[in-house]
Amino acid sequence: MKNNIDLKNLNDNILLDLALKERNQKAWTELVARYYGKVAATVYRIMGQTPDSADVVQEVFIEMAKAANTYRQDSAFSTFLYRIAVNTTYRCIQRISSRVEESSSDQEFLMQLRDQTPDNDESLIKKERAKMVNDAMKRLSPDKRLVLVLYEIEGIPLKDISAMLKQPVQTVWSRINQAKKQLCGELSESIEK
Amino acid sequence: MLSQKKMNPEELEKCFAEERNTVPEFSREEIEAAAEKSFAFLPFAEDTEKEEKNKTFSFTAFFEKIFRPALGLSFAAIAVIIAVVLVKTDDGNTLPEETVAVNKPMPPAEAISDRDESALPIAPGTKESGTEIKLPKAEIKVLAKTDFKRISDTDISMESGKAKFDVVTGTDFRITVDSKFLVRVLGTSFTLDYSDGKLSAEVFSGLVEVVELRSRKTTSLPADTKQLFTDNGKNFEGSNELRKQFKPKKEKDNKNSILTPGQSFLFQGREALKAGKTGAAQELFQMEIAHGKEPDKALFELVSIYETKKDYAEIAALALKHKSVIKGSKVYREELMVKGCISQKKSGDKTLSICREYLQEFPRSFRSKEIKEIIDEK
Repeated sequence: MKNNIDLKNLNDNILLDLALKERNQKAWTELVARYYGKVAATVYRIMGQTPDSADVVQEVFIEMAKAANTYRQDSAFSTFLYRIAVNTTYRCIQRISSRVEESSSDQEFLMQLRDQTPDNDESLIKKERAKMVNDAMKRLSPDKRLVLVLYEIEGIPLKDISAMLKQPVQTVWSRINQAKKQLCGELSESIEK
Repeated sequence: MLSQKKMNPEELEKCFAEERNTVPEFSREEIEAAAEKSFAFLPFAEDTEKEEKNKTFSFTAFFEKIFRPALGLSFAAIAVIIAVVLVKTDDGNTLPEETVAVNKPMPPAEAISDRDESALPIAPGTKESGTEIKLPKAEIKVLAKTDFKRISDTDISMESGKAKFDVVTGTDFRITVDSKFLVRVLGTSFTLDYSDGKLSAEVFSGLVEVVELRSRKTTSLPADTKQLFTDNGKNFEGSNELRKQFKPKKEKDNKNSILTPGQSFLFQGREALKAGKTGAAQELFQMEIAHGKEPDKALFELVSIYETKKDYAEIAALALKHKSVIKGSKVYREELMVKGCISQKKSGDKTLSICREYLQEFPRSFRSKEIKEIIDEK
């Protein structure tokens, strides 16, 4: 009977219930599959393609599993998971901040995220521009990159970032501005070259 | 190429925007590996229940922790202490979990509710007729031999049998029946009778939602209704024979209900409704919506009244007027939006604005397919 249920059509809450209460591993795998790409993209954006990034993605899902029974369904499951992803990544950044040295070719990852449409002038410009932005972002300090990614790319409101990182809104806002300023400076230099 | 163009803040924003919509694809193997590793860390409901049970015996660990460093006892000495403690547990001071065990016939006098079991979780298993199970926010009375697979504070799994449930209003309570049905409860009193793949649900008050897990069909049962479900997606609401069999329950003992002015408008409205004073109830629910602490519950009650009158235009109007109440409700939000949507359709409101809002808010819910169909029919 259980096998006849099409898991793809079940909502996140039901999948989580099935995993927790019926030990249904397929339901859990379906839930992980739904969010793996998004979580991985966020982690890689924040951390860069470091050797630790893949481990952090794994750690996010382990943390999600550990905290699964604390999810109260009063917000979307994706919000709950997102919080875990950001907090786990932030913890990892703090842990390894002294050794976050990415190789220049690693940032190609974000380029690979883009769709594989045939290259025309416009898409080449887009790709080149994205590469330049990513290279510049790589040179930001982990703290600045974190807030910039969360605010500008993930679209998380300031007060939520402030709550996640347990830092005042003003501090977060000023760090975002510093990051943007530095990014613009880096990009202007790249363009001149 | 790019070097011919100057990178300005607008272009930077553009880059961020492009990035926002980028979601990478990963191999199925990679995802399955992550799922497999993390699956082992899930706090399964049964394990959590076992851990809770073990708390009854935790004072052995407490003794061990306190006395070992203090007295410098050897492992052998600790073992002796633990043995002594365990012997003590057998003298009846602590109830072992088997006391409410599976398949052991329970003497009628030994109703679970009679014991002080604040720290003792209730073991699942077969419960005989007459057994009463008291949970923090619900009471279950077994009406015929019922096989419970899981009993936790807000989550029950039953395999067969018949039981009456009384759930505190506002509690998110779920009952899985034989892995075939999911019964979601929004604070209510009702009975479930399950045998041979057929589930009969009779609701006395509040609202029960029955989800047939295979077909994902959801049926809401308001107060004073009874319905039979099968796991083939059919229910027998429309059958003449069964309609006769499951004739709505008549009001009983309610005529003498007295209005209690000291209580909330919601409470008084419900009392008025029980006493058959629908007009007064409507007024009181309106007052609760406007001034009370539980406007969502009052709105739900009000909508239920108009449902019985089949006044769908009024329901749609209420849903539109009290959007903020609906949005602020954790328990009734989805249900009220569905009712608003269906009422819009039935009353000929072609905008179907509530249906669209519902789809935006609950794109993957059980009802989304049904709501999409309503919009497509338009």
